Formats: sequence, structure tokens, C-alpha cells
Amino acid sequence: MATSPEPDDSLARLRRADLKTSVFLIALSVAMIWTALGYPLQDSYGGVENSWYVSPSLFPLCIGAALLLLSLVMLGNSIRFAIVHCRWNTYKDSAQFIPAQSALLALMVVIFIGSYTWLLLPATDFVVATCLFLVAFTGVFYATANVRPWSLAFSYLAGSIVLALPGALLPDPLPVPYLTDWLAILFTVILIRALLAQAEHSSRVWLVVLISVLTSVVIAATFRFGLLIPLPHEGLIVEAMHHLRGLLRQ
Amino acid sequence: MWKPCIIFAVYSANSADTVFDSLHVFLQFVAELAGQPKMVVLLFGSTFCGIIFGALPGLTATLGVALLTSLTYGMAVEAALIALLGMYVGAIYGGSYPSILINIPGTAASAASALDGYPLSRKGQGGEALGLTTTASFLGTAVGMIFLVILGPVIADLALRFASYEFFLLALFGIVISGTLTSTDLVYKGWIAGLIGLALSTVGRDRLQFFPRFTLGSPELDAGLDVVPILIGAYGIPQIMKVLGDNITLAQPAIVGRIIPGIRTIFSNLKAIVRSALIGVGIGAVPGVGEDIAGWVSYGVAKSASKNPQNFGNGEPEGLVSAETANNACIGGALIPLLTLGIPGSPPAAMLLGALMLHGVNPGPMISIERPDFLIQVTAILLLASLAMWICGILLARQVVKLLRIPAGIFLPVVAVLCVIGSYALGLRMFNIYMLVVVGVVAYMMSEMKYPISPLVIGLILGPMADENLRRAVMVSDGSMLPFVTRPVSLALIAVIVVTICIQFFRGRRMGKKHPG
Repeated sequence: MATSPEPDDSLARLRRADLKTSVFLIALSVAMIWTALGYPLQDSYGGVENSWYVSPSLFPLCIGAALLLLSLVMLGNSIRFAIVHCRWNTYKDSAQFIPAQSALLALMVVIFIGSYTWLLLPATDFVVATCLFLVAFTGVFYATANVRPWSLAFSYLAGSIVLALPGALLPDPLPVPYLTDWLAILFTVILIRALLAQAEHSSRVWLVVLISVLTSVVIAATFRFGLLIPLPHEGLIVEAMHHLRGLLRQ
Repeated sequence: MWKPCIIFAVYSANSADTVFDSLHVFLQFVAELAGQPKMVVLLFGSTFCGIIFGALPGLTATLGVALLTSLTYGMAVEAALIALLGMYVGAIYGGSYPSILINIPGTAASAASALDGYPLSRKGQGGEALGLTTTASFLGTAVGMIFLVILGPVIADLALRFASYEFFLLALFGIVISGTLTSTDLVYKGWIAGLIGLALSTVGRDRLQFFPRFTLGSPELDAGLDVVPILIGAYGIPQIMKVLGDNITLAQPAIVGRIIPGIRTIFSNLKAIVRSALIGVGIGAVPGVGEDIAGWVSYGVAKSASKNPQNFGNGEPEGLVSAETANNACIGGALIPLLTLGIPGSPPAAMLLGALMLHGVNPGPMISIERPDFLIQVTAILLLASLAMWICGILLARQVVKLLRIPAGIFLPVVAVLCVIGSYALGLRMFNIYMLVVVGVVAYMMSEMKYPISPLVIGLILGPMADENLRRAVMVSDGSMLPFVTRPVSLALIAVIVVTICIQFFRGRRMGKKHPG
């Protein structure tokens, strides 16, 4: 009888990830069931007579139960895999199911996008924040020859934290008008200089700058003045665009 | 003896009248839309953007429709439909460009096209290959459109007789089948993804009693989770992370000569085209499955049915035509359950559902009563969009090919900005942007662990429908579950769901004995 081939390490790591995920999902489903049991099952709510089948907990309980069942099946499968293939050693090693290089680059993407959405956008003018984000993000992934990507990424993160601080710590309005926006513009210039110093081809860096500025302005203008959608934070540049629009209309 | 003949004649005459009326309305819509220059520009513009979206690896039809949703928010329903359908049709077709020219599918729907498209391109027949896919895609969309107009009213009429029992089971069936067919690893990973989507849909106030569920005391969660930002996060952010994370460097596309429509080759493969179109429509009608599966299934069937299967994979036009016809026919198929039952047939259709709801259009059985001509209007727009796709494809393909030279490091950060502002624009909530990133990271981890995202999206969209109808159904029967098994359609749906689950478990056990793990 032909024997099945031994599964490779990547499948073993995937099953290990399944083991961890199933534990997490079991905890999540138990929490869901526990919380849903606290919702009105029999008692009246808001003056409305309640029964179990009208209760807002019915559907979450069904989902929680199904999720718990499937998570237990997945847990069992992962443990059975390790036992059948004697893969506890692979389960214990440090290699992950995502190749390290890909995981690190994906983490870098998260740092860029996360900083942009959580730190820059709420505190800085939309155009400036977007331009800064694009210069940093595109600079790392396009003008990459000789650029130290992680130092740039962490500098960008640190700068974003600093830019978010005035809005978080100082009272509104800020003592200096558009303080955060001016700091962001300064930071963008510093980043561009760092890219120019490190990149092999300065033409790429200037292309990055051009695309960043154009994209920010076009998107801001399209959404603010074309679709009449207020931007997350309107500061120095967007106000200037308002004034320019007023002048052009005159 | 004459009475049945008279009754049949009257019925046929009435049916013929209805057909003629519908045809008249259809032609009227087509003429109306084609006669408005703004709409024509919008149609061609959105279709061309869709082709670009499909052509650039990392961008998908779903993401294109999602981003366009925020731009069409202020438009009239008709204009928004034109833009969204143009984007949808263009993007599904556009994925064939990099498949053929650089062996990297632009969208998952065109993955099968690379198998024979790329060898054709290497033989210097890139222009012919692109011409073939353009015409095949046009024919596929047209067939899908025909089925939409024929089956749509029939299914809508049938669905009017459905009660809450059937709607709950339809939603459940959608999640089970979507999870089953889209899982590449263990089948219950798809079901888990669907359950996670259902769980997300319960966050906020429940629809029947307005009771807050899983809000953790947060006013933001109290308002519930907006569907569109989560869809953008689930499809857009993981793509950006994956393409940049894998550091994919695209090969330079070969120079493409004249784009030749390939009419002679199309005629010689007419049987394959009809078969592929039927496969595409059938698969499109299955909730949450999508164009990629349609392409692969059609390719597989074409290879099995071919007299020269050994030619497949070496530049066989039949292979290319089969894949492309099916994935575009899937569009019409996906719109059938979307418009008549409110259940999306594919991920881009799921996005389209979100967009339609934003514009105050509620797809479902009542659509034929609230908006009697809506189906015909959509069909007319689909026809014009496929025509626009064909014209853009034949005339502008070489310009689109130039765009393939743009490095991912340049266009993906711009896409990230569009994802962020697109999520914010619908609802003007910063919370949506925060959710976008969280959902994006979770979706990336899930896809790396081989969890399909489509069932999560289907669960999120169908969750409220399932919740409401379950409770309403049991309320009507005073707590009794008996009507679920005494009503014929409900019983049939339960049987299909149970059989599907059992087949997967037995198959899994048999595979487990052969290849444990």
C-alpha cells in the first residue's frame, strides 16, 4: 500500500498557527456566549414582552455555539496532526508560517498606514499628512536603492508621534496657529533630504515628491470641492485652497 | 377541446405582450442612456478605469467598486449604477492583460487565462490574445445579461412567496456554500470566516428591539460597523501588504502589436463559448463564490472536453476563450441573486450591494414592486458597459499596457490613500478609518493562514438579514421550529445545507486517512 508523503514544514507551521488560532477562537466564542447570555432572554425590555425567540441574544448564541464547535474541531485537527507526524518539534520552533522577509515588509506597511490613519490624519492638515505619508511610503518602496528602509520607517513613526502630541496635550486652539501643519511640512522636508542623501538616483526621489504633492492636492480638491465631503482635518493647506477658490471665483 | 387552446393562446399572447413590453422598455433605456453625452462619458470613463484597476496587479474589481462607491455617493442612482457596473465589467476583463503579457493575473478572475494567454504572448501573438479576450469577455457579459433578464423576474416572483424561514436559510446557505467553495485549506476555515462575518454584523443595536450588543460601552460601536469600510479594509489593505510584502517585481510586458478582435477564432470556438458562459452564469448565481472559480472550472471543463487537451497550457485559444468568457458571464450570474434575493453572488457584487443600499435601493424580492423597471435598467447598463469594454479594449489596450510598467511601490501607496479617504467619506467617521486598518491586518493574517475572505464578507452583509428573519420566523410560529421542516422550500434548503456539510466532513475524513493533516 502506498504511503502518503510526509507533509512539509510549511504545512506543519500552518497547523501550529491553526492551534493558536483555535485557542483564540474558543476564547472568543466563549466570551460571545457569556456576553449574550447577559442580554434579556425572558425579561421584558423597553416595555416589550420578551421571549427567548425574540431575544437579541438568540442569534449571537447560535453564532457563538457554531464557532465554538468549529474551533474545537480545528484544535483537535491540529493536535492530531502533530501526533500523527511527530511534529511537536516543528510546533516548538520559532519559524513562522509567513516567511520572515514578507512578514517584516508587511509590518512596515502597517507602520506606515497605521501612523497615517491614527496619528497624522486626526491632527494634521489632510494635504500635508497625505504628502508626508506618500513621501515616506513611496520613498521606501520605490526609491529603495541604498535607502535604509527601517530607519526611515521608524523615523516616520517617531515623527508622526511627535506631530500627534500637540493636539493631544495642548488646549484647542493651539498657541501657534497651524503649529502641527508647519511641523509636518518641516518633517517632510527633512525626510526628502534624507532620501536624497541616501538614494542612488535623485531623479527617483524627485519623482516621489512630485507624485506625493500632486496626489495629495488632487484628492483633497476632488473630495472637498468636487464631492463636497469635509476632510478629516482641514488645516493650513486646505484653508489656503479655500481662499484660492474664493479668489478664483471673484 | 377548444377551451385549452384558447387559454393557451391567451396566455401566450399575454406572455408575448409582456416580453414585447419589456423589450420596448429595454430599448428605451438603452436609447436614453446612449443619447446623453454625460452618461456616455461616465460609462466609458468608469469602464476604462475598471480596465486599469483590473490590469494593475494588487488591485481588484471589489476594491475598484468600493473606491468608486464613495465617489458616486452624491450622484443620482442611474449615474451611480453606470459608473459602478462599468467599473465592475472593466475590472474583470482588465485582469487578463497582465495574465497574458507578464504571466501575473491582474485579478484572481484571470488566473486561468495566464495558462494559455502567456504562451500566446511569448509566441508574439499578444495582440491576438488580447483581441480574443476582449471579444470573449464581451460575449460572456452579454450572455450573463440575457440570463439576468430572463431569470431575474422569475426568481423575484418566486422569492415573493418566501417567508422569513426561507430567507434565514438562504442566508445560511450562502455562507455555507461560499465557505465550502472558496476554502483552499480545511473547509471549516471558510465556515469560521463566515461566522466571524456574522459575529461582526451583530455589533451595534439589534434591529428588532434596538438592544445594544457587543458595544463595550463605546458610542462608536453602538452605531454599528459600516459595511463599506470593512469591505475596503478586508480587500484593499491585505492586497497592499501582500504585494509590497512579497516585493514582487513585475516583468516588463512584451510589446503588443495591433489588437485584433479574433472573430474567426471566436466562431470556431463557439461551442466552448456557450458552454463557458453557462458555467459562468451558474457559478455566479452561487452566493459568494465569484469569477475566479468560474474561470478555473470553465478552463477545466474545456480541457476535459477538448479533442486536443495536450495543447492546453501551450497557447491554446480555446483555453483562453473559455476562461475569459466564464469570468465575465459570472457578472450577470452574480447579479441574479443580488437583485432578486439581496444575496450577492460574488465579492464585487457584495460591494455593489453596499453601494446600492447607500443610494436607497434595497435589492430583494420587493425590487420588482418598488422599482418595476430596475432589472431592465440594470440589463441595459450592463449591455452598454460590455460594449464600452469592447471598444476600450480594442482601441486603448496598448495605452493600458503602458500602465503595467508603473512600479507597485508608486501606485499602491496612492491606493492606500484612496482606501483611507474612501472609508472616511462614507459616514464621515474617523472610527471607520481606524477599523479599516484593524480589519485589514486581521484579513491579511487570515488570508496567510488560508482563511478565505469572501465568506466573511458574505456573513457581514447577510448577518442582519439572517438575524431578523430567524427571530421573525420563530416569533410567527410562537417559538416552534416545526415550520422550518414542514415548508417545502425550507426543507429543501436545510437538506442542501446538511448534505453539503456532511459531504465535506466525510471527504475530509477520507482525505485524512490518506493524507493526515
